[in-house]
Amino acid sequence: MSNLQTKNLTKTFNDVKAIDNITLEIQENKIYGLLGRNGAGKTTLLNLITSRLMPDSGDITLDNQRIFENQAFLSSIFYMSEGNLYPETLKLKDIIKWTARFYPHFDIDYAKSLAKEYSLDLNKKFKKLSTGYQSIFKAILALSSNARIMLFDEPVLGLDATHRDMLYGHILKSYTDDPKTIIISTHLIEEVHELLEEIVIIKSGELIYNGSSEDLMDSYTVVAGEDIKVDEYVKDKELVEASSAGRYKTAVIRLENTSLIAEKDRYKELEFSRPQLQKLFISLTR
Amino acid sequence: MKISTVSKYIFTEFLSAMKYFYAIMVLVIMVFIYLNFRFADSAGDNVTFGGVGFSSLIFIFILGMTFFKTEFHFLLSNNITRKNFFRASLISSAAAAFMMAFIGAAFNQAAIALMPGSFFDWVEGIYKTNSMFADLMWSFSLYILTLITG
Repeated sequence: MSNLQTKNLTKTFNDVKAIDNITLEIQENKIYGLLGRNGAGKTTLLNLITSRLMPDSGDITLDNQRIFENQAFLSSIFYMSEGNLYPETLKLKDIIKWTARFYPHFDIDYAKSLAKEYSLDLNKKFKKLSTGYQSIFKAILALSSNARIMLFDEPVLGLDATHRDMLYGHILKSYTDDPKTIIISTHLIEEVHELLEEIVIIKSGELIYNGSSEDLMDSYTVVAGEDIKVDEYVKDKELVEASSAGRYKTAVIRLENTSLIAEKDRYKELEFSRPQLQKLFISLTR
Repeated sequence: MKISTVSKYIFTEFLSAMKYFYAIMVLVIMVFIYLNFRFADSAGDNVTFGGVGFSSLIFIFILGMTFFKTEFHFLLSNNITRKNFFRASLISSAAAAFMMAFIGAAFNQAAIALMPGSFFDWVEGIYKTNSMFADLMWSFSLYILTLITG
């Protein structure tokens, strides 16, 4: 198995540490969710992986070889960035034509069929597209690239619900037809969480979680009930977050879900539940 | 492989800008030829044309200023390394400068033939030799320097 790895990666902008000593392993042929609040360092991390930024220190390797300015490795990665880097005056069909020359496994017919499915006129110029259609076009390029590693930074920016649903379907189809490593950076966690096998959470440039989505949710429990009883229950436990509405209190604690049945039997006056990924993300990054 | 593809892409972008430039130049030359036939010698006046050299220099400087950012971004979005981008930029710049020097020389020859005595190319005139090859190399060097400076 070949993995993408970052070792002690650090990137500073002026005095702000955008990425702070991140050591991370991205396993081959898995779908990752790269999560973090605004300014957490998600885009910086993706830019570092693709050599668009130079790290202050640390290293990024693919197949145990340095990736920085390595054309062979960089050509095996397609990065759909949030920002627009395409020449505004080029027609979409010309962008496809040139992108196909840069990615040896690019499937032009697939790109055309996807464009048709999304009703995207390839004779239009990039600058004439709405924000949503710019996202769609960039996603079409990514999906058609057949790259070994696909990075999506906010892929559904400006997309309506129907197009978002279609795009998630196409990402999943691309993965099931030909497994590859996919990293999706997004704020729409609830929408995308069913796609994600692995989760990477970054908070203020620091890595706070890297593991499976299931393990993450199994490691925490939501406890709810009368505030006094919840307080009594959580006092000797690792409390992540608590909120109250009147005398009703909800707390997120670090507790393996495997202990849930026993806890439910012991504390019948309390409600125990598995946290939702988005709620858990909010608790962990607040 | 990548360098040749990247060079081709940058050169193609140069070409599309050059098409408009030379279309304008042809139009300007035609106007001067017309003016030359219409007014020269009729009242002792001369219509003179300063060649395409100086216009080419301005054009190539602007091209140098504008191409870098746009093309760099596009190639960055296709994960082309900086090293390959710079190499390909040099190759395509050299090709574009040579092409412009060649076309410029051809334009000048045509203008000399059509407007004898009324034509002097400002750029060629700085370093004029009796060798067409040397003149071509002079224009090429000046163009590539201007493009890279831009």
